[in-house]
Amino acid sequence: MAEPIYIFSDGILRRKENTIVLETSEGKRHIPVENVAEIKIFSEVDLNKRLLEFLTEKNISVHFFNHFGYYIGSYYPREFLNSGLVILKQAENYLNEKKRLFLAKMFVEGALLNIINNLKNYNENYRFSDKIRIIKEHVDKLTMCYDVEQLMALEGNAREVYYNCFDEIIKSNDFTFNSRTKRPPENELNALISFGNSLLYTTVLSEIYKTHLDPRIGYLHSTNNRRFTLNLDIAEIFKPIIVDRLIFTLINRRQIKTSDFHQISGGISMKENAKKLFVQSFEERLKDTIQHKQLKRQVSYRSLIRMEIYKIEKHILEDQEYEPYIG
Amino acid sequence: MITGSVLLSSTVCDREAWLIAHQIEPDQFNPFIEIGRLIHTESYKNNQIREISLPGMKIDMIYEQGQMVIVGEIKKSSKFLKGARLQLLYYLNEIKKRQVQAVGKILIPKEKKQITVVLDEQSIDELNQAIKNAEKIISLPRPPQRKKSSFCSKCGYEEFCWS
Repeated sequence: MAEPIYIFSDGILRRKENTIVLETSEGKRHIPVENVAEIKIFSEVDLNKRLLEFLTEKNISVHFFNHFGYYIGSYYPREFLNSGLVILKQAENYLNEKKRLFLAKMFVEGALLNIINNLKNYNENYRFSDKIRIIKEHVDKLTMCYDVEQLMALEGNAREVYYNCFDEIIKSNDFTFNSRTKRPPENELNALISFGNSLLYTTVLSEIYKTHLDPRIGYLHSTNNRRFTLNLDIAEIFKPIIVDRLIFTLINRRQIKTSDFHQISGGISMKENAKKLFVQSFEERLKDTIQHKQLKRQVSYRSLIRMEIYKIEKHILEDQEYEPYIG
Repeated sequence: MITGSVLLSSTVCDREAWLIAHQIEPDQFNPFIEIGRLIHTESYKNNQIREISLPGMKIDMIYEQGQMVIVGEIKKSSKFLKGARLQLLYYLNEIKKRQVQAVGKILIPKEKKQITVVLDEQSIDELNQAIKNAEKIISLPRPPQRKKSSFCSKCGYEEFCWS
């Protein structure tokens, strides 16, 4: 089973025969290419075209993060799976407003239902029952939205109700939520959410690469002229299940403390050890399995992400109507 | 478009044939697909002529044996012989249109088996029937509905179909 490679040390990344070699001041590390699912780089790494050619040949994407752990961009190799029909249908589902709205709505609905399930997990003494009811009302209102902007507004409101529960879910008084801030996040909790979300966005992007869908055509996130948007759409469904739950666990088990962060200009960033711990726990979470009803076997969350992409592919091919994964 | 692999898959699963015909390839990271790819690249490595691509055809091996031209198709096992035979008949018929007479051989290195396929009148009828059937499947506007079969668990479309 191929694994994602995370690089935290500075050095040179190059091709050597049929392996990738990472040369650092501490020595050489050989990475057999057949075992590489994707590469995420957090440190200063020099690389050349020969390596990119090799990664293209092996269908491996590379995601870059800056010194503070913010996503910079991806090397998305030339497509190796091409279906003209799928691309046409994907664009048709974007251009036809009704069809686009259906998919966008499903992404929001999936996200909100998974958010509700998270709250149910922490609903001791029914402390979140009111909040759950309010978010449910938002879900019911989704059918009344007639454009994507309304959907996004509704989602934003529901998410605010959800974020208001964070301070109670998290046992440590050192972490407070206040409000959601990005670029840069203004407190520790926001820094964790941003970091976790970028890891998820790039993971979903790598999984899209293994399918026939084009990551540039998204349905919910499309207004903001980003290069990749479909991965953001699909990530919405998995953020509560993968990222948020991970954050609750790491803080409540005191594996991550406020001392794991440092101030940067205008914001806050995770220290390297905390990033490493987060990444490791994130990967463990992706390897966790659940029993799949249709397949009648255990599947990992990573496969579940790819199957979510297949479900969208089937939807646009008018094979099966899309229903988001609810975990 | 009809291709050798569309014909092969149409003997197993209509949905698979439709997907292949619409360039929706199976999961390339599926372990069974990876094994198949390995067998293809590692077997008969020393043969001089390998892989020839023509429209609708990717011939694994083509070589001469005495006076005869042999078209070889490498298979992982003898599980889908009916389909493999059709695939070869299709290749033989296509190259016959290009004035080359050949005999087919299904090569199963793991089982040390070679099965000869000859393009005669009866098999041409069989081929035409299979082409007609496959054309009907792939002209459908949507993929044919998924059907659980014993092949699903080893198919590269398993996760696509059953997600």
